[in-house]
Amino acid sequence: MTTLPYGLTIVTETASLTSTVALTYPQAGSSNEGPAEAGAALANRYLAFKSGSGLSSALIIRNLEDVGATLFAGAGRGGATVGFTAARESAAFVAPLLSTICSFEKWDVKEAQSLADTEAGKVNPEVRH
Amino acid sequence: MFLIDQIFAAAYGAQSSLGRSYYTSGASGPSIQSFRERTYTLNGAVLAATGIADHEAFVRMVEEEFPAPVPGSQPAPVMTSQYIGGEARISDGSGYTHVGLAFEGPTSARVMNVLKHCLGATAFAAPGIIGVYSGNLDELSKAITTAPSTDVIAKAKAAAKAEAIRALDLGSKSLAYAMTDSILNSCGFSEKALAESYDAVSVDQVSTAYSAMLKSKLSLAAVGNISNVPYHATIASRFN
Repeated sequence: MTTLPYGLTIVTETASLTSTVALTYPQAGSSNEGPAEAGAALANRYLAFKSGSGLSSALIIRNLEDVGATLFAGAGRGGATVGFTAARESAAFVAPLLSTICSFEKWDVKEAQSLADTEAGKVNPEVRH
Repeated sequence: MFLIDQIFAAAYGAQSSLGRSYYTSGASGPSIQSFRERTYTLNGAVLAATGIADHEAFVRMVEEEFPAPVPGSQPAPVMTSQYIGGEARISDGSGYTHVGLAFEGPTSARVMNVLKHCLGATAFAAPGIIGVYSGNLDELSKAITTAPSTDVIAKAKAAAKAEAIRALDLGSKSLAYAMTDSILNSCGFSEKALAESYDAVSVDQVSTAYSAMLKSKLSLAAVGNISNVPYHATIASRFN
C-alpha cells in the first residue's frame, strides 16, 4: 500500500488472474450532497467514462474496450467507484483513463440527467412522472 | 430498496443528506458539476488494483499519468447527518405490508456485522444504522428484544467472518472492493487479516453494542398497506 503526497492511496495485490482497477471517491456519495445538490450523486454516476481531459467519451471507451476491459461505475450514499476489469498485462496501460477530469459537455450532462431521472423513477415511486 | 430508503429517512430526517434517497431525480446541471468538482478529488481517494505483479511500477505509473491535485488542496469535506430516529409511512395500496425497524448502530464495521448476524436472517446493517425488516411486526420485535447469548454471538462471529472472507473469493472485482473497504475501514484485506479482525471482536463488545442499540431511538419505516401498522410510540414501547 502506498499513499501519495497529495492523498491518493494505492493498494495492489498480485494473485488475481485478471486485473480489476477501481478508483473510489469516498465523499462522492449522496450523503455528501449539499441542500441544492439532491440527486447529483446519482447523475454523476452516469458521467463515468464521459468526455474529459481532452478526450471524447468515444475515445475513452474505445481505448478501454480495445484491451478487452469490462467497465463498471457504482455509487450510493457512501461514495462512488469507477473501474474496469481487464487482462493483467493491459491494466496499467489504460488505468489513467479512470482519472480523466470531466468536461461536462452539455450532451453528456443532459443524458446523465435523463438516465438518473429514469432510474430514480423506477426505484422511488414518489418521483414517478 | 424503497423500504431501506424510508428507514434512512426515518433515522436521519427526510431532508438531511443521509436521510434523502440516493435515487433522487431532478439534479440541475450546475449542481451536478459543483458536486463532482467538490467530491471527485484524488486527495482522499483509493485506487485498488488486483493482479498487479509490480506494486512499485504501478505506483510510478500513477504518479506520472494521473493528474495531481493542486498542491495544498484538501480532501472533500464530509457532511454529517445526526441520527435522530423517527417514523416514515408510505401507503401505496399494493396490498402488501413492509415494515423495517432500525436503531443507531455501532461505529465499528466488524462489531456491526457481528451484531447483524445476531439479529437473524432478516437483519440488515448500513453505515450508522442496524435493524430488521419483514412484514411481521411481532417477529421483528422478537428479533430485536432477544439479547444475544454467548453462543449466538460466537455463531454470529463465525458467520460474519465467513461472509467477509467469501467476498475475497468472488473474483477480481469483488476483491478490489474488499481492498478498498480495508483501506477505508483500517483493516487488512488478506484472508488472515480479515479473520483476525473478526476474531478480535469480543462478546463484551457485541453485548455493549446491543445494549447501546436498544437505548437509541427507534426508526420505523412502513410501506404498502399500512393500515394495521401501529405508530412509532406504540412500537417503541416494546423496547423500553
